[in-house]
Amino acid sequence: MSLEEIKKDPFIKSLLDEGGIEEPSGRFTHQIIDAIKAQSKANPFVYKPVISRNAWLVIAFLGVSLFFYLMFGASSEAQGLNLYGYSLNLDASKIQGFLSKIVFSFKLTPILKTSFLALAFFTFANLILFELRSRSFLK
Amino acid sequence: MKYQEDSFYINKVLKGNLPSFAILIEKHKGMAYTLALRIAKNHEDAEEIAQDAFLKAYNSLSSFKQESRFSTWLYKIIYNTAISRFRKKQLDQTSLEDMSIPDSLHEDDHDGLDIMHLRERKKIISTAITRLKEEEGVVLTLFYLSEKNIKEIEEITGFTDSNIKILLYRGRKKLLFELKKILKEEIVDIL
Repeated sequence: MSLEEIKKDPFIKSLLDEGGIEEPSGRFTHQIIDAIKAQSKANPFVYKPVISRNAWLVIAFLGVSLFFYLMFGASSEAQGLNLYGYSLNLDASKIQGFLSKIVFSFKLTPILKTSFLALAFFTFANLILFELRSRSFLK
Repeated sequence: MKYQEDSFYINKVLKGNLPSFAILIEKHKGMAYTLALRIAKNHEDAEEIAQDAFLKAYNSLSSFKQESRFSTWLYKIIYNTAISRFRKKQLDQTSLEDMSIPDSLHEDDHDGLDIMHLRERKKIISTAITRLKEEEGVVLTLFYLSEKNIKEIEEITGFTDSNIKILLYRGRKKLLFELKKILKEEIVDIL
């Protein structure tokens, strides 16, 4: 039996044509559209940032590393920094040099150095907290 | 209603236009429902299967490559949805080989069909199609009604080329056999 033989069977074709295409209920299309809308409500659009969290972590790490390198990098011109009675031998000359290139006659005062250090500390703390919180959320 | 090409609506749906999907449903719902009915054999289940399949199609529309026709892709989803739902259902074990099925209807059987009213004829033909095995009904519907070629039927059902040809052959014979049986029953009822 060839395919042509099957195709040549006009009686079967007319039978199936006459049996026809069945029609579903009148609400068929509406019900599907309603289901799609309900599904969209149940699964709201999830915001995806352009820069991923991992990319931010890398950027933050590089930023903080650069800052610490500039603050604590070994130098013979190390200056003392008094932090609430604790004396740290921090080298701010590199930051001083770097920032004075950007901002004309920039002077890195001890209070500014303390602020930078505090900022670095809080950035690290936040990153760690953010990571821990997102992990516990996923569980 | 005159419809555009499927790709026109698909591109719109992919851009977030939901009414375009409603048009796609309207365009394909008849055939989708008929296919589901060939397997489910009852209207409620068929409607559920077809709706479920349309929902699946909507959710995975972005993965549709547009290499094959949308209808082929949709019918594949319908077929798989229907089959997975009815996989556990025991299929009719009656062997076709055991039945004496005539190769064609006699002339008087044709006449019997001719004199019937259109609605009665449609009902009889629908009943005869319902009595076919699920696979036979699907393959006959896809081949004769949807005018899909063997390759497309292969894609939809996963059957091989030779399997499809056998199903078409057996389906035709059984359809004629069932039709003859129903016609005889009708005549006996009238008498």
